[in-house]
Amino acid sequence: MSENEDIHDDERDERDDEFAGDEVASDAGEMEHVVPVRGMYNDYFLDYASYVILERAVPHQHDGLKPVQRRILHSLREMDDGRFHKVANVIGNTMKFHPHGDASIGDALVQIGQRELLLDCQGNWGNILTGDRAAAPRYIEVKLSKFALEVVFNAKTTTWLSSYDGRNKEPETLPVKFPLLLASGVDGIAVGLACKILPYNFIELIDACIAHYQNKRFKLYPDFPTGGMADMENYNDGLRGDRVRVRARIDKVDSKTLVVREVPYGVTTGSLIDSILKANDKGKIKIKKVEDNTADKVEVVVHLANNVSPDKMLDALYAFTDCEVSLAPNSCVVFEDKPVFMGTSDILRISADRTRYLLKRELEIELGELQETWHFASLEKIFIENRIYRDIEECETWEEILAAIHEGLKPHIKHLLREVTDEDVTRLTEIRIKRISKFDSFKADERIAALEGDIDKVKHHLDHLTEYAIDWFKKLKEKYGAGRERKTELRTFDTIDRSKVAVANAKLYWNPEEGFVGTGLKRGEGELLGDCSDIDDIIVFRRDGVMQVSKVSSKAFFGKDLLYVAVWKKGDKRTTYNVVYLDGDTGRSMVKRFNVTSITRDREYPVTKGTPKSKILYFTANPNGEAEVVTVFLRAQARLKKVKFDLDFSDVGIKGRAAGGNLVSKFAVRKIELKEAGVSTLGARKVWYDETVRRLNAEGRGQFLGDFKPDDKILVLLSTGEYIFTGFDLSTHFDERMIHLERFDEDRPVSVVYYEGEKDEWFVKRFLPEYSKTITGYIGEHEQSKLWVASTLHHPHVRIRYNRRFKHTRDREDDVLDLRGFISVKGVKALGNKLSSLPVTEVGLEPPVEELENALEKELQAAREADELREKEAKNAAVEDETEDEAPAVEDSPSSAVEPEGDTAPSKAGQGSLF
Amino acid sequence: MSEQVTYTEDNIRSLDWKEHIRMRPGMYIGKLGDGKDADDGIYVLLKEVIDNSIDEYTMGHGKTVEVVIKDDEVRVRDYGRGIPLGKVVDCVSKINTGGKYDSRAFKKSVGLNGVGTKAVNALSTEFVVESVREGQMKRAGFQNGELTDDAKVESTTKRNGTRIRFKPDPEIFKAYRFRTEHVEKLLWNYAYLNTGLTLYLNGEKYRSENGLKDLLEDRLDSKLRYPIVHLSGEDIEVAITHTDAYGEDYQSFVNGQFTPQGGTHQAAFREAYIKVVRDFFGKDYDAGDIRGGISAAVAVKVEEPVFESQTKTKLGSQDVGPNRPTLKSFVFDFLKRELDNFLHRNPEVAQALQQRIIQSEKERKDLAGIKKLARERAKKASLHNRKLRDCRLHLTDDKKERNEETTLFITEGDSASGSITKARDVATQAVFSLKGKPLNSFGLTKKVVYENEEFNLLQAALDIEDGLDTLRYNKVVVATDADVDGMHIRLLLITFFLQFFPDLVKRGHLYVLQTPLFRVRNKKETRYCYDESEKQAALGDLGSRAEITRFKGLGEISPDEFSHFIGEDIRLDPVVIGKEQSLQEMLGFFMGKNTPNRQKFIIENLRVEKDEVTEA
Repeated sequence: MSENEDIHDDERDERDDEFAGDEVASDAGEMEHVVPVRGMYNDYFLDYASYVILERAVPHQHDGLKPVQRRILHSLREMDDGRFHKVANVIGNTMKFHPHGDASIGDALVQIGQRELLLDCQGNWGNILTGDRAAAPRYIEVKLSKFALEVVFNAKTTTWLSSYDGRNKEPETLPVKFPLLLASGVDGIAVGLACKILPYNFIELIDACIAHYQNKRFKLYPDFPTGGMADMENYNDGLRGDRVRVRARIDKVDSKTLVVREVPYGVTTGSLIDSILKANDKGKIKIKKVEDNTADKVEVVVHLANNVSPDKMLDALYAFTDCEVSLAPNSCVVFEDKPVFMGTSDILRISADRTRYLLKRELEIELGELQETWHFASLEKIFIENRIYRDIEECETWEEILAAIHEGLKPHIKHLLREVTDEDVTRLTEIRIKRISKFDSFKADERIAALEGDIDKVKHHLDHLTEYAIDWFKKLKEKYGAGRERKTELRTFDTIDRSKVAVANAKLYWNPEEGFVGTGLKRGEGELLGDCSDIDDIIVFRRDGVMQVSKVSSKAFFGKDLLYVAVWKKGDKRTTYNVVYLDGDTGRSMVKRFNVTSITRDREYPVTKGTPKSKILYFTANPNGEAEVVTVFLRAQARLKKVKFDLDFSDVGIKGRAAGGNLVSKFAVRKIELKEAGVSTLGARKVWYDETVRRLNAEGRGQFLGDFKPDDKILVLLSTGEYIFTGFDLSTHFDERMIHLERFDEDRPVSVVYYEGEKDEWFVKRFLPEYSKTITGYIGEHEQSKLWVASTLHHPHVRIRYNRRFKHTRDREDDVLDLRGFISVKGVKALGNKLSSLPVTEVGLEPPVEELENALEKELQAAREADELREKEAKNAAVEDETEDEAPAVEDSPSSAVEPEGDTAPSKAGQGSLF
Repeated sequence: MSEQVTYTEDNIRSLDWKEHIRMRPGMYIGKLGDGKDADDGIYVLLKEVIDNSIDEYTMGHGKTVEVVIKDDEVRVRDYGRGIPLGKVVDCVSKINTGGKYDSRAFKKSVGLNGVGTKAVNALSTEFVVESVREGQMKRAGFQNGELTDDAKVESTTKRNGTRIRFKPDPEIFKAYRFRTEHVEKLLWNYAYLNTGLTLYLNGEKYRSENGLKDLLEDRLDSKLRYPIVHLSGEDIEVAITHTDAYGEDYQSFVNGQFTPQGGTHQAAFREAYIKVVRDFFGKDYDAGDIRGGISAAVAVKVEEPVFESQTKTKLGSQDVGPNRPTLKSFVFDFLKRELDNFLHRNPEVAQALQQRIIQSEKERKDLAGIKKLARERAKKASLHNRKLRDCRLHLTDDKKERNEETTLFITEGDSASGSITKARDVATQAVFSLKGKPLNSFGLTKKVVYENEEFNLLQAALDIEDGLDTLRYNKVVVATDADVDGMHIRLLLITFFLQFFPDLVKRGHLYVLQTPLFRVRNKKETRYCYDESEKQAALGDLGSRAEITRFKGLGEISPDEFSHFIGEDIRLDPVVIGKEQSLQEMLGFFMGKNTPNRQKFIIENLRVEKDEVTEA
């Protein structure tokens, strides 16, 4: 055997049986273990996590309360004597059940109080709108509200636990007969999970419970005590992953003032103002001043800086401040001793079912008690009427007495519900003589009958439990629903493109020779180009024909000899670049027009053919697609007859950036000069109005408003009997007073029916709105005046309903009236004609009569065309003499891509020529 | 007046060997304990017995050692040559008797002084030794060191070797229990240091092929920066790597003896390593940067080693042997040759090492700014650490007898610090009180130790900024309430130490104070109970009408009662890093961000507790 083999020789052979046997392992193993650190972590962590989840942060499904809240309510019930109690005392009493600090109990109590449902509060309880804190617990007072006393407690249906020190008992859960959790909402950060349930509307919750009992579908959406507006597009039953966007309600008071009237949930005026100031510091918005004029209602006044659009600022407030917050619910409750992620509709269903169960338990208990009372009342009657007490006169022992009474009762107790027990008999023996002597059998019968009536009623309820539960909720709604209507408006929000609403908060400098662009170029390093925002993109053109888009930075290098730099907006189809370039390969000069709508950032693109020695000869950037006329001077050459000719960019179609373009000349170009400023070759802008988000758009959503030329306006009719004009800027906001909007046509009259408060009469009038920058009223200034109908239809028909309470109008049918025939067009301030001499209650607009409208529209169209024709002829005659110059040599035929009905109004927008 | 003490010949006693051992067990085996700590006496007994078997293996006899521990009884069997049959009794019961005195080979042995087995014998209620040599067996039995069974030599079929069975005396080791983890660790160390040796513990096999390399591999929980460098030469073996953890981690051994407190060999290694690395890179890196994140194991063999205590936890020898080089130059020469060659041959390892050093350097420089602030604080703290109520002795007072008893209690807020302060032994027990919950340090950098005042003061109190050498207390005890927030604070504190001072935990300095779970009281008496059985016992004593409450906080205990909880019968749970786990993964799971996994884990393992009212 070699040395090596010896080692590998199975050692089992060498070992004593005592140690090698299998039983060694099983026999031993009695050693104790040290808990390694992982075990400690496991142990401590589970202790802590379980406690925080079950006993601290997550509410219980049954009553919707966290332990501290339950203990506070229980404690309040224990102390309840109808009077207010100092909060400090309530905290002290609660400590009998809740072995934690007084501050945490106090805070929890104040939070319940601020929900204004379960507690009646006295003193300064703080303000959820401003974030002001409540006064110290020794000042403020509290008692349970009527609602709480009615809905939350019932000792008979409560399961009791022993308190932490074993000296008291506390409820496991409170028998709450209402979906309390959803009404108040909850926030809790536990270990390993967080719980956030948003608050819901009191009345809607009750309706949903009733719907559930009736097996109807229901859908719940959060409602916040702070009001505001909420977008529920990404809301799906309050589970994890849901998002609810909540916005402040902001009014545009005038072009320089915005007023926040309602704040989003969880935001206070203080924190809102902080966020506004922060955004202002960062330059995202531009404001002069913010004031907090909040009293019982929120009023935060934002004074805007000069020269900023209030519409844009409104968007910016939503985009950059807490005027819009996104809430992430994560609905979680403790259910059967485990945290369960449960949608709000399930929470509601379980809660409604539990309410019904608790009502049933209450009825059953009541029934039992009534039956007991009835049982004994019946026994007593038998006992006295049949003079059974006489049977015991001979008895000597207690047993004999019991037996005698049992015997005496026997013939009369067949109708009783249960056996007569010894206790019953004992009670009978305790009846006083006085009671026996005064016994009135009629009254006793009456009492028993009343009890039977009650029993029947309770039994009926039990048989119709669902109806009973529905009644319960209806009663709650009736008693406590007042003033608890929905506060938060549900709407769909538009998404705000942050880069479009960001205020220019930086200055953009450039140094074209050295090729630097940036906001951080120091004095002397470059010249000012203009304002930009730090989240903007810029477009850069170099003289060698290279173009690039890049994010604004403090300093960036784009290559020497820059030609043009500007802020660039993605998807901009209107800015058109007009270029003449030299193709280095062929020596020819080419002309092209193009847009840059989307592009990869920080990549170089050639606008020439990319051949060496190519360069740009002429360049303009035209924000509205203007096409100018230029004069091209060729370098003098022997064979060249014509060294100068005009080039009209409007003959060149707008193509892609990569297109080669049309030939200008084979010969060398000496210079190119602007001859005539350009006019826009672009068509009018099509604008739509989207009702759901109350915004304009160019993507075809909603109602088509028409083709807008730069100077066109929108006429907005308001429900207040006023009108206002706005531009067609897509960022314009329309508030809820808006009843109608359309492209302003100065020839189109507005027909109006209104009630004039001062004269107490109904009037009709028609007028042509006059353009004005401010709001114009047209129904007088009396505060009782009210607008009923305002329409721009050619033939608006209105239905008049008369007041039938008067004799002379009792049988009067509604009249339908064409307003066009009723009155001719007058001034805005005219009073108009009286609608009717009869008493009117209501006037409504009828659906438009299509034929009439179309017929008139056609007529107008014909008239307009005739006008245009006449105008054109006149103009043509005027310019005929000037079109003598030879057209430039063109390689491709001029494109017809220019939209045919290009408008002829000279654009006011400046051109970006650098020559 | 005191009684007149006569001092005559009668007073002079010469103690029997076993009497002396039983009277002063500490002198022979260090502290007693109940087995909860790795250095408690019963493990020393086990070690003394196994050491003899290992010595046999070292001599080339018996590749297997069997250990069986059942309840309080230990059996150890080797297959070496066996004790010469005629001297079996002497070998285990006569002091200064042994075969290791003259043999040259035994010079590099640990159990040299011939006390080992005798101490075991003297401290055991039962001690049986059997020696087998060539078919002959001799057995001897003892009780508390008294010979009770001196059997005749008889023939046997058993293999050569020695078998020892003993039961430690429960009067000396009160309520002791062997803990699997500690025994396992002991056996693994034998396996690592004796490649080719197989040990069995209750039938389970312990064997290592790669020695110290295996040790490091099994021990490390974080990612290695480069594969373990494993070098060995005559009388020396080292394994080195770097991880991303903070601090330094060494495992040092002398002649197979684990030296948890290091000593001259470890110091020599640290010094030599710096020198070699600096020379190799030709750069004068800061020593702390080179050693930051190092994890190394060093084993040396020294002739006639000298330890600083009987428990052999710290080497004191200056030389490798009589007439041989100093330990310092021995280790340096070895590393200079072997490590330098290795780094030249493995440039990728050298590069990884350099990157780690540069990282440490960068981190240190990042800290520099804060350190300035920290230094100001430290200055203030050295003047007076306002969170600390210090004790008189410290671990660093080597010369003082009780320096290993020094303990720092980290208490939670006001609930206990007052009582502990009042009840403590001011010589050895210090108190550091936290205010509220400390920061969760998971995922934070060491910066926070300087930024956070509380952490900074704790670091100052422990004096571990520059490593464990200056640690001022042998035990750092987390003393929080037994309520759930106390549990949370324990987690946060252990995380703090694991994150920034893992060595402190690895070397077994961190403990958690066990606190009672129940309070049972009647009108006369209050008892605190640590578990259900104690509660039942207390109920028996105080009557069933006694009030039982779940214990909430240390604040409920009066100072005079508290002295029981931190005195003789103090109950400490050591924080021990198990073998199998990755610390970072564990910390990430428990202390990191919420993950679906963790959520599932919590929900599935939720602990529910309810006291229903018994009578309605």
